[in-house]
Amino acid sequence: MVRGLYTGASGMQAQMHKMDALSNNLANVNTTGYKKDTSVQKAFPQLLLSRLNDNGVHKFPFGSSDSAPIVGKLGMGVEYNESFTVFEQGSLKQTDNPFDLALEDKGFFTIDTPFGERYTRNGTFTLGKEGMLLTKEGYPVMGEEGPIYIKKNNFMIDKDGNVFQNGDYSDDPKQMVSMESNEWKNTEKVDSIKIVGFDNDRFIKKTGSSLWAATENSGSAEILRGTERPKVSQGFIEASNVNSVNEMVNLISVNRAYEANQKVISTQDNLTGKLINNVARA
Amino acid sequence: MMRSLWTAASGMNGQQFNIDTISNNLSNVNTTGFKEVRAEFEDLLYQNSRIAGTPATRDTVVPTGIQVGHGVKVAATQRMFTQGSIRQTDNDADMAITGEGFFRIQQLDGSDGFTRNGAFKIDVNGQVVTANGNKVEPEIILPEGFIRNSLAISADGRVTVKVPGNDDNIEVGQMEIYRFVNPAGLQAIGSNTFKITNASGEAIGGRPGFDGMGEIKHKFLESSNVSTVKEMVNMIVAQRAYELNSKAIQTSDSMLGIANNLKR
Repeated sequence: MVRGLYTGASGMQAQMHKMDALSNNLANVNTTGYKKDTSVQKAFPQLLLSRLNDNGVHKFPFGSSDSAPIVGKLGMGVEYNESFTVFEQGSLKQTDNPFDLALEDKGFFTIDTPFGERYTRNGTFTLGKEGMLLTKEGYPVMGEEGPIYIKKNNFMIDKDGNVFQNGDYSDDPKQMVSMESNEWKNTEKVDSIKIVGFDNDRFIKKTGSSLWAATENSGSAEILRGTERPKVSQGFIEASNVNSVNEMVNLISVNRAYEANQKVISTQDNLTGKLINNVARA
Repeated sequence: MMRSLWTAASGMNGQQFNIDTISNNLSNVNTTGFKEVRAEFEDLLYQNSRIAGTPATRDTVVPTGIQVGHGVKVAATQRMFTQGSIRQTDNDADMAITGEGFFRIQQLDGSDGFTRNGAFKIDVNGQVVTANGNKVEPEIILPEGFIRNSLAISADGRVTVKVPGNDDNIEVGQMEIYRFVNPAGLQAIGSNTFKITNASGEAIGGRPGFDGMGEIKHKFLESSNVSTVKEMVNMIVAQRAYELNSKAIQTSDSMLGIANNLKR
């Protein structure tokens, strides 16, 4: 009926989508390794309006001979186009737990799940009973040569993500060692943590539980080396990169934009009401 | 209705759980042998309202999808087995473990429990037991009429005692300490006690001070490893996160109100 009604409604819809993304960011304000989502919107294709009833042929202004003179463009509102993950670095928090790892700079830990390789920035790992490094769900954390077998008090991870252990204690998984008695006389490299990146990390997909999956557009994961490789910090976790101040401001602006679009609809509604009830009055 | 309402509610629930965990840590700040717990979070599932890679026109595809998250969930409660500080008590049957490991306690149902709390007692039979009367394993029974205050436990767990009319120390038993491949996988059952689970692996016993086992310090107790400062900071963060999420709920509510006002 009235075009503007639908334009206003599309605005309200888009703001609601924004609100969904905002809420998810705020819910994850304390989630280790969480990366915030922003919603990207785009305008609907615009309509080119022409006069229909009044072709300009041989009419004034003289010289115009359009059969359908163009009035101009009409916007048709807005649509939700994309949820875009911002891979800003979160701040590092010290925990002193040797199984907590944080990445400084772009890159991901590689996790082997039953539904394929997944990637995460959440480095709060733990040990399985066989001594395998696992995530909280019990999925193995991958090294470049497979799962990583280590022992409490007998492993160190350097800034490059190389895992070292003292070979004196590495044979029997049942052999325990304490921090004090470990003299590191026979240090050997176990493996390197498989830290990967993507050509287009914009296109990787969140799958929940702090995991990402590769997609066709992101390209497959490639192990990062040299200058591209992020620094690994043992005993730290990466906090969520949600900035609560910005998100609060966004909350306000979303709320008001929603309201403004509602006013658009109300106004259109009022005008239509006037048209129906007042104009035709004799 | 509105997805953001439930998303923000999941955030509030998560922070509520966080405060529950922090409260438990703070309430056990003076519990002997208590180990702090950390709540860990992960994002919930994502709804794909448009999948990346679907055809946009005949020969192009949509490069980026639309994904909407549904909030947060508790992923784990991780127990931090760091050393608590050791304080002297001068009490005969107190012992603390410095380093890794647990004492083994026989539960009432006969199964094994493990604890870091070494505030033991000596019962009427001269047996070393916990405050609840559960036996410390391997059993240590002091001979009848032993001299009070002559009980001595060496760093490697040898228990000796003196009896009247004999100047020699009599060895009455050997304390053992138990470790796990993954102590964080142990299940807490209250009373400072942990039980073996599938995640922790079996108990590996050993002599204190050897093979990576901690040493026993007699007449000392291990305080809890809760850091009040850290918990206070976490409490502030959790409270503010709770508040933030309540604001998201209020905003969603206000938006719903706005939508309702479309029709007067």
